Amino acid sequence: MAMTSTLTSTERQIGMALSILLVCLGLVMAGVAKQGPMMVHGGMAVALGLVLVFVLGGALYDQPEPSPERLTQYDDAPIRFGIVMTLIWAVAGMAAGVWLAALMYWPEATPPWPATSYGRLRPVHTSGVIFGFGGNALIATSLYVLQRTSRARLADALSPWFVLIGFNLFCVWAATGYVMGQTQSKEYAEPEWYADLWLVLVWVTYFALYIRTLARRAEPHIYVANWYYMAFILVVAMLHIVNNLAIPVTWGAGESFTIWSGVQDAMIQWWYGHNAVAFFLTAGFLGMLYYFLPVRAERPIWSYRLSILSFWGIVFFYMWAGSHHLHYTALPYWVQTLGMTFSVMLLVPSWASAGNAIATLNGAWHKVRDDATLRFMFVAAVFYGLSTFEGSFLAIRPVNSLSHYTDWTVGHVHSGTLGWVAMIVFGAIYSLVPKLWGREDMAWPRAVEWHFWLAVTGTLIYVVSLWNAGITQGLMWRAYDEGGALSYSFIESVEAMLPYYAARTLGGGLFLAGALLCALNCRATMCAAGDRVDVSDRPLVAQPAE
Amino acid sequence: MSHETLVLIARILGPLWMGGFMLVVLIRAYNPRRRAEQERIARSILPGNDGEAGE
Repeated sequence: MAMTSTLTSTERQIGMALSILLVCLGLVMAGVAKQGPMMVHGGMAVALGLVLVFVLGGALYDQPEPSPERLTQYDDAPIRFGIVMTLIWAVAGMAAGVWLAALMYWPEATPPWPATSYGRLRPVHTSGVIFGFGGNALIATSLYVLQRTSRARLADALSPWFVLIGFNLFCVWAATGYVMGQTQSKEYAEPEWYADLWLVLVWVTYFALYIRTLARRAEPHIYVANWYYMAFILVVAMLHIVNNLAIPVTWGAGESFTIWSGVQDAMIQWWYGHNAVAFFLTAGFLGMLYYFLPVRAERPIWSYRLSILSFWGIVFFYMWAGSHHLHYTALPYWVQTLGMTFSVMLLVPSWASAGNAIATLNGAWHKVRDDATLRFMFVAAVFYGLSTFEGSFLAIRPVNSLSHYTDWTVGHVHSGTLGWVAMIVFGAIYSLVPKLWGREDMAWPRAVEWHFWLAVTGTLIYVVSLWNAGITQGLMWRAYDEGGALSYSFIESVEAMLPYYAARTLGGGLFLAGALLCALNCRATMCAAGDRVDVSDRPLVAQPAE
Repeated sequence: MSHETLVLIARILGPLWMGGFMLVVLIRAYNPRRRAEQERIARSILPGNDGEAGE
């Protein structure tokens, strides 16, 4: 097995000890809870811990010690695992999204069981794509970029496995918890207190691994992509801890009350929510962009100094923008104005990054034309520019009065997540998979082209239909007749949405088909690699023979 | 201290702090003496340089 073959006997023993601790943790959770989602999650931890104990224990006897030469090579085995998990979550999370989109057009199709209701499946989609797909992609690519830009092997062999396996356990706890009806009722922070504590443990290990590896770097500088990745890791930790401060109802129940109340709770939630967009869905993916786009285009970033300026602009301005989610609420007016102002200011560093990426392609446009992988990255930069402009625009109070609570917001979010985040992830995946599995190219190069056009067409259909839907909704809700009464009932505005919801399902379906094609293409590439995987593990220092 | 005074202080110090910080970043990032180093860093990740040459 890939994991055990890279670990020494001592590391396998430590891994076994950690797995036994996981089994104990699961037993305590299940024993204390006795029923409900927390007990099921305890059972999952026990099962995972036992599997790891057997895998690591078996390797202690069956597998030889890894060659000492491994220390002169990059540690890519955990990255390969992270890429596989990225693809699994992509298909699962996006399939849930398409199913939910179809239910909005055809609500009668909702199965009669609580577990399959819209309200329970919706966070399965959001957490599945944001944390499962996006999170695994960020962790995997960050470990790749960290090693290459630092010319250093990861600081230790166990931490990356703990981070990736632990993070995926969190994602599975989250998704299964929602299906069982468990939620904190905080958007994008739905998992309960014990899952949150587990994620803190995983995230601190991730941050420590990143810092320790950077400290071992063979380069005098820290390449700018690492700054973005570090901002992602550090700020997400801060956001996660503050927003999830809660008091459990009892230790044996997966239920809790947040320590925040009233408008402070709303402000903390949207400080978290918008900075999740900023630091989970932007900063880390900008790190990805600043590494993979120049490498693929074989051109240095157009302006390195501009990338530094954008970094600090994004870090400073985003922190204050969250309150634009609470326009026209009980939040003090000046706090709303503050959020609106910083949201508009954010356009400067955001467009600086988008422009920097696009300008990098000057002189390489023939590559963009011929290479679908690079085209994914180019389209990602374009959608990043478009969606950040739209975000600043929607944060302006009078615009927000039309757009808020409508599907325009959903269209805006998907312009960012499909057009920007998913596109840059797919670009990075198509760059990485052949390298990590020791091949020249993907197994089906034509399928990359097909995926690109499915993704672009799906995104455009999805986003344009929800722009129309949202503006129509907003205008219908604010229309009055001569007597001052509302011109339309709410249900009339729902009925008006049906064609847009059908188009949205089609757009999402096309995007999902592309993701599925990507997963199959990657699987074919991995299978074709066979035993060459370990050969591809590249040395830290250039080898003339290669 | 009244709420209004706090808001006034925040309105004065906030922009000064933000503007000042961004000015420092601007001056450091665009210092001509750092240009050669920045160019080297930007090129360090490209194929053919040491960072990727092993690939």
